[in-house]
Amino acid sequence: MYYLRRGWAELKNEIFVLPSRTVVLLWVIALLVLPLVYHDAYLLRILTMTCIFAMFAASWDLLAGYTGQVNFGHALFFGAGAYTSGLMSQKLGVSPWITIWAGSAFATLVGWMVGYLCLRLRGSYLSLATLAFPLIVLGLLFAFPGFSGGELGISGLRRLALTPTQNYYIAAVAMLAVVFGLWLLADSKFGIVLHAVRDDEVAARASGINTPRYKLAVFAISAAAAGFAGALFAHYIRVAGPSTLEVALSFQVVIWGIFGGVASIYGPVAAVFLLYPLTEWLGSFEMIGELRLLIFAVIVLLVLLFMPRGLAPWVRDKIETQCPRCKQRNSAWKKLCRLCGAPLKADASQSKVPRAERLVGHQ
Amino acid sequence: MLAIVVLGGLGSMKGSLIGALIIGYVEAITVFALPAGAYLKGAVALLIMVAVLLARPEGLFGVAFEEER
Repeated sequence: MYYLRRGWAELKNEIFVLPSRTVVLLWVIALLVLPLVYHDAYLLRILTMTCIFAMFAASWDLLAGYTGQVNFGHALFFGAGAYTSGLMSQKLGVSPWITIWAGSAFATLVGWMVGYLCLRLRGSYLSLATLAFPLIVLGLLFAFPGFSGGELGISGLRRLALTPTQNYYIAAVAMLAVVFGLWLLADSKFGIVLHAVRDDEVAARASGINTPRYKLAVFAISAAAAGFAGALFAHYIRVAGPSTLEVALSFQVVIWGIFGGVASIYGPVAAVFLLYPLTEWLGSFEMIGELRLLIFAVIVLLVLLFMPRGLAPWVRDKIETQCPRCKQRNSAWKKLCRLCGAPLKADASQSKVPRAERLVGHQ
Repeated sequence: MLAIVVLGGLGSMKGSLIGALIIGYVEAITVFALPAGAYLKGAVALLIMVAVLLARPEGLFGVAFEEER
């Protein structure tokens, strides 16, 4: 009973005070409860894919949003995970539960190598060089069809689980673990260093941060998450094909990242959870058919026109404000800061004071 | 196309010209000399681009411009 009350108090004080945290909690609960309430195989399939791509988008955001290494070839890591896991389970007959970790480990190695090669590049040169890597690998795969299956890929992989509900739970739990792991990492001291590397690498170096080491670490971590997603994807759809390395997938993840808002792990995840089911849903109408890409593009453009920083930061600014005194976040409908008691709407009360006085008075 | 311009260096006309010569010859030789060369054509061109970027991060004739801060 004591623990129940204690838990409720923690919940009330830590989570329900901020609308954004409440939204995240509701989202997690909804993800975990949904298949118990409503089990439609088609819906579960879409949500499983959404979970896998959410992992992928979050890993891109750690690399491109936080560290500023805008990677246009992120599908390389996805494909590395998918192909490694697929080849191992197909040729060696290892259980997919093990090969997924092997795929993730190999993707980490690939990410480290790509990061090592790209250390000196910056800006558009980095983006273009990373864009080249998946194309090189794709060419190699097509040139050796005996090993890689050529354009058809490796098909008939073993599944992780048999029923749609089990598959969904595997993907959802993996997604929650990876996304919250990346989120914790990005909010830690490590994440602050990454912000510094993105904003001004020279200054970060001058303050004694070993920027190459941080860049390599981020490339490896991001590739590990992406490779994990790729391996799950390969075993879910049971094919590890060239579509996991395509330029289209690389750009898809960039679109998700920018749409959701970069440098916030939750942004791209929210974007995937909106955009991926939306494209599937639009495709289900007869009369829309192939127009769905057009509609998709128009929605993305409109959202970016009115919310230039992305969807998630925009929504967060609408439902929350920052206390002018202690910089803590508060829900938008509060009058006083929940921690220091300072009035939140400072501008409204001061609007009668002349401007010069206001500038002097509040130092 | 992308490989050519990046190889020569963004913002350099001479670089694009020489990059085009290099990539053109290399692609033709790849298709001629290697088995399954038609698949490897793009891969080899991009590999050369990456190799050049490793040696000279701003391309062959690109200007190393300072980023504004």
